[in-house]
Amino acid sequence: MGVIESALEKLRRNGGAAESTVIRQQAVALESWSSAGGGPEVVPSRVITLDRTRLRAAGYLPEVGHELRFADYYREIKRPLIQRALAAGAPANQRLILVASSLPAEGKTFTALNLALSIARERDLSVLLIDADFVKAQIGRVLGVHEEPGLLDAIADPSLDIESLVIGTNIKGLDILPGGRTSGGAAELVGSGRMSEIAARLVARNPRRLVLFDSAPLLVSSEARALNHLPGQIILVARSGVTPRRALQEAIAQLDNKKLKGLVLNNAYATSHSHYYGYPVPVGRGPGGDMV
Amino acid sequence: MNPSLQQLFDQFVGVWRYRWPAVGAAMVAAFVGWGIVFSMPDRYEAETQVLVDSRTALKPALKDLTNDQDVGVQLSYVQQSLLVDAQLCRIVNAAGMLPECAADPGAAQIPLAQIRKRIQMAVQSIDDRSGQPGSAGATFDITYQDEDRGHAFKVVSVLLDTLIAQTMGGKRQGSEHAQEFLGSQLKEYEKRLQTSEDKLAAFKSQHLGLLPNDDGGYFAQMQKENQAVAEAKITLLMAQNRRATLEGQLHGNAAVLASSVVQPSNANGSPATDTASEIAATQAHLDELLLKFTDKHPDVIATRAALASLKARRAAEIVSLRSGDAAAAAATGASSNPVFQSIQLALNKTDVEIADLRTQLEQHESKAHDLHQLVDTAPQVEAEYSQLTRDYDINKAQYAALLSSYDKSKLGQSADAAGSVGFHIVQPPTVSFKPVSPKRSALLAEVLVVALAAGLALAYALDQFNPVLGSASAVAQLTGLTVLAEVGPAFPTRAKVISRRELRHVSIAIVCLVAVFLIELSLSGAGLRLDIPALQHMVRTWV
Repeated sequence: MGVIESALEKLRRNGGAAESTVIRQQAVALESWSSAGGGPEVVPSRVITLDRTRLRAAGYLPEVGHELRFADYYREIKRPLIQRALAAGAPANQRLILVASSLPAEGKTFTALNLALSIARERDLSVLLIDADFVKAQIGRVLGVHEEPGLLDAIADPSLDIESLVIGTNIKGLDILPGGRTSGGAAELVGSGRMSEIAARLVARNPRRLVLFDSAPLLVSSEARALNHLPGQIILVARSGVTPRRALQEAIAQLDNKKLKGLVLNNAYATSHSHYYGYPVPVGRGPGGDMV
Repeated sequence: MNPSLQQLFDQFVGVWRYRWPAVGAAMVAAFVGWGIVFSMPDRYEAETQVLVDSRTALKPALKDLTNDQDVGVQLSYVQQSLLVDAQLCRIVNAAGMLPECAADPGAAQIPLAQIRKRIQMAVQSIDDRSGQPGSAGATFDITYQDEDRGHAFKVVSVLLDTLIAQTMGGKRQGSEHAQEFLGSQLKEYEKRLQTSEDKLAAFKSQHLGLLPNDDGGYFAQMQKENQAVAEAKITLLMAQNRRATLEGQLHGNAAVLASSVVQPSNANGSPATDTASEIAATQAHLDELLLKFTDKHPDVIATRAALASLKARRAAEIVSLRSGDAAAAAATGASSNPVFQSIQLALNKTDVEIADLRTQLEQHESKAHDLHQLVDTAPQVEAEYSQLTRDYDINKAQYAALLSSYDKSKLGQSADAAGSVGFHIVQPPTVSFKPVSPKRSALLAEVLVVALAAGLALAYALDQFNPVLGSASAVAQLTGLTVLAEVGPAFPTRAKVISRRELRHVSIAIVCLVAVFLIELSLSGAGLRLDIPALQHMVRTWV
């Protein structure tokens, strides 16, 4: 295991645009082989490469030189989520995590993507990031997969296997599911029984897989509200200095308080925790360890 | 970070969102305000000062002799009355303004009110050494502001003249009123006094004798009479006792003794005629005879018989004396005895005295009886009398007081005419050459400050209307949720650039505003005025 992992680490570090398809396929093969005991592992039919420069330019990755600090933030966020998702006897839907916000432009997609990347770094966890903002499809657009069939297609067409629509990435443990083609009635599709079925299938396939929904703003879109009942955990994203207090309160009122696990405050200009500015601080050991 | 500092920072971030509305509002407010300031008409101020001297040489001389009318009160009264519409209209007309108000003062109420606002009259009292406020008079400042220098001057002049004329006139009028009143009151009281005098006289003549005099009232008199009766009775009793004693002495042993005393021979040698003397003489004769003769001698026998008869007569005399027979007394010679005579005299005197006392007693008794019979009527009369007297006294006192006041008032008027209050014009009416109002520089600065404050207030209000999230602690407090992480700015460099740029732009906007203000200051000094009639009209109605 150590050999494989170190090879994967190396791959990841060398990752980005320069990575060759051969090595990538090799890595995928290695991974599927190594985690064969975890259940029927499906190798995504299509694998894409995350272009960090492009993502950064589009505003979905932090500025160069601040990665460590941001890694700290998302480690902080993911730890309690993973803890609950993998707790003994936890219901399967605890592994469905909705990233919601009240209004657009509060850093929802940023949070979802960075959180997904952070979870993917966990050695024995994989994460599926679903672009559930069907109108904007920000993740799909930035990764160039917004034209691909996705979640909506799978709901609309029962003959489609959801797993066949999952797109792999060059980052181990991170898969993407595009939103799919919008043809109106997205809210009804999302609210249908078929959606619940798909969600159940997604988490049933692999017990160490977490599913992250990057949803549309709660106060703007009805799909987001239709999606509310599915996930076991919801985190709410807000932007300091931007999100109106009333909007946040309204969003909270729309959500199930038991599922609402916390709040991510973006653009926090001042904090009481000095270690966010890069000072080393002992980090508690949650499941998944403390590796960066 | 300090929680309160954090809160302040949150607030700042919230307000900062509305920086451009704030800057816009400040600019609009500033330019509107400056427009108003520049269209405000210039005003010139006319001023005059007069000293009202109420302490002239006459005043101490007339102290207590005249009724002093308070000049201060008169002044403030005139001051108030000057500003009444009709009066003010007359003044303003005299100054050549607002000719329409003479016809209809009601129609010119608004311009009159504006003029009134621009008139200021300040009274400052001057104390003399007594420390009594206003005792030495007062200085009176009159100022008036107008857009026209000539009008300003005229209004102040007319105001000053009117003030002096009305204060003096008012004072004279006041004392005339007082005299008139006092005169009518005097007549009234004279009449009343007359009436009460008549009543009193009539009553006195009707109840003559029943009225209390110097000896006191009815009860005092009655008491006195009763006492007199008692005293007379005692005196009478004493006199009667004395008489009884004297009588006893006259008839008793004293008389007998007196009669037995042999009287010396009278000066003319005639023998005493009373029995006791005869007995003594006969006894002596008998003793002489017995020396010469025996008892058988006839002479002796005869003498002895004569003596015996004399003694018998003597015994009979004593008996009759004891019974008080005056003839007997005379016969026995007792009456010629001085002791007897003095007793007799005293007795006679006592008798006279008793008769006298009896008469007196009777008199007193009848008087007391009379008084006693008046027990019901007399006190009533007395009460009525005292009431009448009191009325009379009061009327008399009042009349006297009024008379003195009347005299004082007359004297005071003469004193005023002679100049016990003096008006000295300290500063004759003058008008400034430079406009005193508006103070444009100050107003321009005020407008700037107010505009900036208004912008800030707008941003603050907008933020309050739509508050945003601040720090994590505030958010946690607001929502009650766990804040999983405070994710710092993803692009701090870019954010810094943007925020600096914003700060710079806002600063430039404010600096521009201040620069405009500075330019305006110099323009205002150079005499720039905006001549916008609508704005000027608005300003006139406001200011």
